[in-house]
Amino acid sequence: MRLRTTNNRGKIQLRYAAAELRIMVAAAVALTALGILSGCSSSSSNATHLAFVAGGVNAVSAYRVNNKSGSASVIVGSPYVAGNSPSSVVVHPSGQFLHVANQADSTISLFTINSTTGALTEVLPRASAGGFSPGFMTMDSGGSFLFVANQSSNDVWAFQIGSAGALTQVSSVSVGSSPAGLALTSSGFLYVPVPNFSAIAVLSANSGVLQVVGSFPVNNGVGGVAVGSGAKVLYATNPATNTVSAFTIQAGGSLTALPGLTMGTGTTPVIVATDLTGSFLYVANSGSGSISQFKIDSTTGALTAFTTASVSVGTNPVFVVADQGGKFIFVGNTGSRSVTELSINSDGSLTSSNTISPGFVPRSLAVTK
Amino acid sequence: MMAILRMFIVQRRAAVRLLAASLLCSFLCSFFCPMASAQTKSKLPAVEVFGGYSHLRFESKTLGFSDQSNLNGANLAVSLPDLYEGLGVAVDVSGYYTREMEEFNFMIGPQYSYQWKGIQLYGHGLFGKARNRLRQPGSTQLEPSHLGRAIAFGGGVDFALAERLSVRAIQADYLITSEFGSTQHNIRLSTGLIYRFGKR
Repeated sequence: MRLRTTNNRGKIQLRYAAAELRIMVAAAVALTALGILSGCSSSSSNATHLAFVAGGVNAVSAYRVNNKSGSASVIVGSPYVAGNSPSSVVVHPSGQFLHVANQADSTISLFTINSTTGALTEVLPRASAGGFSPGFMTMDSGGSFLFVANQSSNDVWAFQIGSAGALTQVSSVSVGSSPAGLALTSSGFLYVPVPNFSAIAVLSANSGVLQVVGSFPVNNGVGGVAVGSGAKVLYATNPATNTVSAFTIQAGGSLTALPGLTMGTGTTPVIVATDLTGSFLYVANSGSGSISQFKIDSTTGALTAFTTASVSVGTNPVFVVADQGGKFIFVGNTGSRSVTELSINSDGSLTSSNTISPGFVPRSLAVTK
Repeated sequence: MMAILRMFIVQRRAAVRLLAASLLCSFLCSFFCPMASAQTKSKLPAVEVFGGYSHLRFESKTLGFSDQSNLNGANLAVSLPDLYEGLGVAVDVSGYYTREMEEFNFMIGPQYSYQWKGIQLYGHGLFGKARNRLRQPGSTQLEPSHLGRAIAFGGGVDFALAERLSVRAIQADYLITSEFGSTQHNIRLSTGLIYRFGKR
C-alpha cells in the first residue's frame, strides 16, 4: 500500500517535471523565433525621403523617393486636401512641417508630416497669406521665416515660423506688380522678379523685416531667378529672347548686370534653378519642353553649356527643384500633367530617370532631406 | 407574353441557383461524411481552440512607409484537427494595432497534424481576407482602409501540458496580403494556449 502511494507520487512528480520541461522548451522556441524576427526588423534597406507635389484643384500628393535610385512610390492616402488652387509648397528644414500656398483662397495651409508613414495632417485653421493670390513661397535655411509673394496684391510678406509650424505675420512690402518668384540668399537678400516691369526687386529680409533695397531692370524681360556660385551671382531667365542673363550681387544686395555672361536657352525659358552646390544651372524652357544645362564657373559665375545643351522633359515645364540629396532634380510639367525626375551625373549633366504622374496639374514640389 | 417570358427567365435563374446549391451541398457531404465517420477512430481531439499573442512583420514599404512595420496583436483559431487521418480544417482570425495602422486577417483552410510523444506538429494553408486601415489621428480626411486577399502558409509546434491543455510554442506563417493595390509579403508569429474539446 505504501509502495503504491510512493509510486503514484513519483508518477505525478514525473508528469510535473515533464510538463515544466515542455513549457521551458516551448518558451525557448517562441523567444528564439521572436528574437530572429526582431533581428530581421532592425535591418533596414535603402534609405528614402519624401516628395510633395501641390497642384490641381486642391491636392498635395506625397511620394516616398529612394535616395539611390530615385524611384518614387505614392503614399497610400495621398493626395491630401489643401485649400483651393495650391500654387507653392515648402518643407520645413526639420522635415516636420509643410506649408502650402492656396492661391484662390489667399491662405496658407500647415501640414504636419509623419516621417514614418509619409502621411500629411493639416493643422486648421489656415493662415492668411497677408495679401491676395499667393503664388510663390520660400523659407530661410534655418526654418525661422517664410516669405510669400502675392500676385494679386503685388506684395511680399514675411512670416515667423513657430516651433509647431504656425505662422505669425512680421512685415510686408509692395513690389508694384505681380511677382513671379522668390530667391533668397544666405546673406538675407530676397530677389523678386517682376515681369510686368521687366525688373528684379531686391529686398533685405534680415530677421523677417522686409525692406526695399531697390529695383533693377532686366533687358529683354525676366522670368525666374536663381542664386548661384556662392551667392555672388544671380541668374535670370529672359523669356522674350530665349536667354539666361547674369548679375553680380553686390555687398548691399544690389545687382550689376554681367552682359557678357548671357547664354542662349531653349524656347521661352521661365524658371531657373541651381543644384545644391551652386555649381550647375538648369533652365526650364516652357516652349520647347526641355531643360537647358550649364556649368557655373565658381570664380566668375560664367556659364558653359554642356555638349548636350538640353534634355527633353514633359510639356510646359514650370518648376525645377533640386533634390536634397543632390542626385536628382524634379521638373513639373503643366502641359503633360507630370513631374519628370532627372538624375544629376557626376559632371552635372542630366539624364532622365523617372516620370511621376500625380493625376493633376503640378504647380510646385518640395522634398525632405 | 413578355410577362410570361420574364417569369420563365426568373424561374430559370432560380433553378440554376438551386442546382448549384444542391451540387455544393452534395460535394460537401461527400467530402466531410467519410471524415466524420473516421473521426471516432482518431487519437486527436475533436475541436481545438487557440488564443494567444501574435507578432506581424508587415511589409508596409509598399504603402509608402519608410520601413517595414512590426505589429503586436492577438491570434485566435478554432480547428478540427483530425477529420481524416490527421487532416483537418482551421479557422484563423488575427488582429494587430499600431499608432500608424490596423491589420486584421480572417482565414480558413486545411491543416495537417502529426502527434509524437505529446508533441503535435502541424502545417496549414489558409485563405481569406485581410483588412488594413491606415490611422491618421487628427486628420480631417478619411482614414484609408482596404479589404484585400490574404493567404498564409505555415505551421507550428504544440506541447501537451495536461489532458486538454496545450501550449503552442510557436506558429510561424508566411502571410501574403493584397492591400491598396499592392502585395505584401509578411511574417506572422504566434504563441499561446490551446484548449481541446472532445476525445483525444
